[in-house]
This record gives sequence, structure tokens and C-alpha cells, in this order.
Amino acid sequence: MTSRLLPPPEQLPDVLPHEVVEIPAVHPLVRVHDTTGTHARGPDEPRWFGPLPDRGRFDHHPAGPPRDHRPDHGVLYAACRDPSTGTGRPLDTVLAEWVQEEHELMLRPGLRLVVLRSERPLRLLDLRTWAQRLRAGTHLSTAAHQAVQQWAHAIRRAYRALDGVLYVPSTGGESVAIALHEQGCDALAATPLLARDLRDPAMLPHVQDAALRLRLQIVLPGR
Amino acid sequence: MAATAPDRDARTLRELAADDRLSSSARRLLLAAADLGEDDAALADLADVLDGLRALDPDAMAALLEPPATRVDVAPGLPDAERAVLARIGLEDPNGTDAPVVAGRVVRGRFELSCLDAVAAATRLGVDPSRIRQLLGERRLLGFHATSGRRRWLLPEFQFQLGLVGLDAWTVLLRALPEPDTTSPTALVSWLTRSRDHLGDRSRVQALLDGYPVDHLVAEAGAFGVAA
Repeated sequence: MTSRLLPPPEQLPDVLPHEVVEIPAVHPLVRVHDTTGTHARGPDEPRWFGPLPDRGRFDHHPAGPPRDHRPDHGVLYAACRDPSTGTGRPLDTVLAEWVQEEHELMLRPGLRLVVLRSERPLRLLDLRTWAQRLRAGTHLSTAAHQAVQQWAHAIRRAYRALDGVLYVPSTGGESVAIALHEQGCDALAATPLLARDLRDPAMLPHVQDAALRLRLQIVLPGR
Repeated sequence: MAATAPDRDARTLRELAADDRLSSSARRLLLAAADLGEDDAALADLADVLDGLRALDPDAMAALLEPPATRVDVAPGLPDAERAVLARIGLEDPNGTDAPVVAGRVVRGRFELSCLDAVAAATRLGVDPSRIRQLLGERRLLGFHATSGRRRWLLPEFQFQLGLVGLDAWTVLLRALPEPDTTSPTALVSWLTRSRDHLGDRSRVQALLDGYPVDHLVAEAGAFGVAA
């Protein structure tokens, strides 16, 4: 479901102190890492290719057909338990983001669940508070991708000192979603805490449980 | 097995599963679908799918109802360090239900039933089936192999209905997309046929037919299957 979102103002206001959230260095960040395909990248590397037309709401790449914007515009999506409560299922959030079309969770070989940590605290624009002040509210989680990408581009341009944004995922739940900018990715430890193929027998049961919670079908190409 | 789709809910699926004429595979399939809940439209058509499967030969039906992918492997023990990491992100002691995998196979089976085989496609175009296989090999037609029997081609019907076959732009777009057998054909068809906000609520194939630049669609095709 999408909702109506106005374009961002020409100039964004200064960020207020309570609109910046800090993710501690020890806090595990979860993402789906694609090790295959044309746009394969390292587990801690941003995606320079964008903006994606049907996904990646916080792609801040310049508008237009997707292309490689290295080294100026890169983004890495992750999820984590809410740092203030320690609750939530970030696996559900990242799998919901990976859904391709029609409630399908396509588990290609080479898709890995990666758990990362940063080597310093990450300072993120907290859209839960900032977007309310800008009257964008929850639209930034639910509006059409291209409309939100305009905001992402404006945020990236206006708040260069921040590492990215923190937002409520469109799928809801208690975990929070993160879109890290390039400099935020520089803070990530190169060696993940965990990296397992989603089809790994040790991981698949967790993925199946998450799919059931999210009412997704699992597709296993090549089997 | 004659209930109509709209009123089929989880309870109905469980009642259908109690029919002792069903094979154990079909019963398991229905119960798995019922576990997924009431409001999944695709699964609500499950009985229709099973009816359709009966039209297939027994081997093909068995392959769809009891595919290897529905078997859940026993998870080996993870090292303690990794188990601790999973616990920190809220993952402990999974149930490992295979219902979502079964559901994926059901939807795939239903989709396959909606496609043309090479003979039907040849009849539609007034050519020999060998010509269809040649066009598939050249990626001038969208097609993929059936789950059961990897040599059987299936072709989504919309490309014939919309007059895409033979258009150079259609060939260009098809060749920019992943080989359907390496991905999900249903996701691929949805990518092509579902309306998109950024195309003025048109689908990509409709935009193509309206003269939208194929180069732009080719660029978007490069994003198919890319993780956000």
C-alpha cells in the first residue's frame, strides 16, 4: 500500500538533538547480503547502483534510470532490534525487504544472512521524530518509492555529518530499519559476526518461521 | 473438492484435507496451506490447483505435490558463538515449518497451469513447435521449464494476448532480464505485468507497447532481483 507524500522542501531545517539516534557499536545489525549477480558486493559495502525502481525507499542516488553512482551515492539497508527496548525480529524486517514480487521470498543460492557490527557508534536521523516535525509522518515508510527517494536525496544532501537514517519498516514490528550512507558503511567492521546462506540447513528453519509470520511463500530456484 | 474459491478459508482447507480419498501428499499440502491462514488469495484457490493437477500425468502431479524442496533438512548444530549471535537478534529454537515452501510450490503449480506449452504456442502463432523452441533459445519469447520434467517448455500467455511476440523491443527487454529458469518465473511475470507508480500506473509491458523508451526498461531490468 502506498500513501501520498509531498516533495521535500527546498531547504531542510537543522536537525534537533532529539532527532538523532545513536546505535551503539556493539549493537548487531542484520542484512541480506547477495554474493551473486551483476551487483554483488562485500558484506559491509554500500550499493552504489541505484535508485532501484521498485524497492529501496531510501536510495539517495540522483533520480533517473538506475546506474552506478560510485563513490558519491551508496546505501546499505539493515535492521536491528530497537536499541531503546532491545526487542524485535530484524530477520523479519530484512526478509520483507528482500521480497521480490507477489509475496514471494526468492531464496537464490548465494543469498546470505549477515550480522554486522560497527566499530564506532552510528549517528542516524531518527525519522520517527524528524518526519513528524516535517509533516511527512509515516508516509516515508509507505509512500511510492520514487517519492521517498526524493526525500532520501534531500536528507543526504542536507545532513552530511549523519551516517544514515533510522525508520519504522513498512512491515511494522518492533525492530527498526536502517539505511546507512557511504560514511556509515565505513564504520562497519569488515568481518561479520555471522554470515550464513539463507538456504543453509541451520538458517532455513528460521527463514521458514519468518516467512510464515510474514505470510510469504518461499521459492527455491534451482531445486 | 468442489468448493468455490471465495469461501475457502483455513477451516475449509482442513475439511478438504479430511477427505480420505486424498493421497497423503495432497492432505499434507492442504494442511500446510491451512496453516498459512485465511486471507492469502493465492492459497484460497488451492482446491482449483489440485483439480488442475489431476489433469496432469501421474508423474508430473507427484512431482508438484511432493517436491524435494518441501523436505526440511535437519539443522546441524551451530557453533556456540553463532548461536549466541542469533540469540542477540531474537532467533532461538526455530520450528522450521515447511508450509511457506509448500505454498511456493502450489503457487508455481497454479502458474504453470496457466501457461501455454510449446505445442499450444505453436498453434497460436501458426508455426511448428520446433520454431517455438528456436525462438525460446534466442530469447525472443518468454518461457521457462516446467518443474516436473525439465525439458518441457512453458510460455506465459500474456505475451501472445498483448501482441508482444515479434517486437524488437520485447526481445531487447527479455535479453536484459535474468534467464527465467535461474529466478522465479512468477516474479518475473509480475515484474513485467504489474502496474507501477513511476510508469503512471502502467505495467512495464504496457509502457513498452505505448512507446516508453526500451533503454529505460533495460536499465530497470538490471535492478531485477537486486537486494535493496
